[in-house]
Amino acid sequence: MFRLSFFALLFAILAGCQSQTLYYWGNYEEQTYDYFKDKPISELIEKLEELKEEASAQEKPLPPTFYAHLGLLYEKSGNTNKFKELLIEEKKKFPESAVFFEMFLKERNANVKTN
Amino acid sequence: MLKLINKFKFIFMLIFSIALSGCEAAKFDYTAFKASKPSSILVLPPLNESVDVNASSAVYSSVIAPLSESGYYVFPPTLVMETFKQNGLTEARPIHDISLSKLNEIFGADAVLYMNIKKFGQSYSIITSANVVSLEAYLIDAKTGTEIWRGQAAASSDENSNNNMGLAGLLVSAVIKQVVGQIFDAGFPTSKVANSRLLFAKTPNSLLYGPRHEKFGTNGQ
Repeated sequence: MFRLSFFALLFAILAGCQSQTLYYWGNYEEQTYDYFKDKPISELIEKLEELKEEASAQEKPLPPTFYAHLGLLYEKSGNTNKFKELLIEEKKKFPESAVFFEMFLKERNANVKTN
Repeated sequence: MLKLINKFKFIFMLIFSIALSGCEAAKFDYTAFKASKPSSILVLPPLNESVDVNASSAVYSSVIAPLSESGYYVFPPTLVMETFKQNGLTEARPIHDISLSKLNEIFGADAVLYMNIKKFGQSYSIITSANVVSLEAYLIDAKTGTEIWRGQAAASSDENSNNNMGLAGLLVSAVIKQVVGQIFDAGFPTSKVANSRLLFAKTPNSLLYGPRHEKFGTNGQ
């Protein structure tokens, strides 16, 4: 009985240590690597949307670059609206990115509502 | 007899203080870094001295976590690459030669990280073969062009991942599983470890904590 509670405590501490990251990562970096290795875009979108759900379920924020990268995937699969939406999300969460994304969207002749 | 003991004591203290002062000299001088106070970092696609075609992608993909977890905004490698591609640049060398003013115009980053992959790939010894990744990088203040940080780090798929100091310590279970499971492409997990040693603020002589981290502004690291 004592041994069980000891391990439960140890597990809780270790689990606590594990979740001390600022953001939810899952295998996001691996997904980025897969993109550079030209894996099919639809698969990558599916995996990242799953990851998004996982983060939401754990109530952890998504990391810098996530929304923008997912947006790029949507843009490459023809969904310009989703692309704009996600870039705006990234800009909102990380205002440091504003200059870049405004330029990026402009270069693609997209019309963006700046807040 | 006493004289002999005192002599040994003296020699011991001398060696000890020399050794200590040697350790002191190895600490990075963060004066320029603290003056610069970057919030956002633009990582350019890394130069690659290895023969492995996957090296740049593997290393470029694994800078995101250590920089973000140190408290910085890092620009998305995939969109950065896309921007350069659209302007006719696909190779790292000419990208590294772009002027700071041009980079500022496009990205508006506070600092730019220039990386070089010195080693990437299989390294054979008599007993085993391991995947090694060796990196070096320097960080430039985007407005002044001053170098504010420089560092290097390496990792091998062979080593015992008991080092819990870096970000790898927090994500270690995933890394180990991948090393075991992907013997033929251990380059990526090894890149993650190398990058976390290079760029995660908790590692000695790495970057300072950034504004998004609660430890931002604490002395040194």
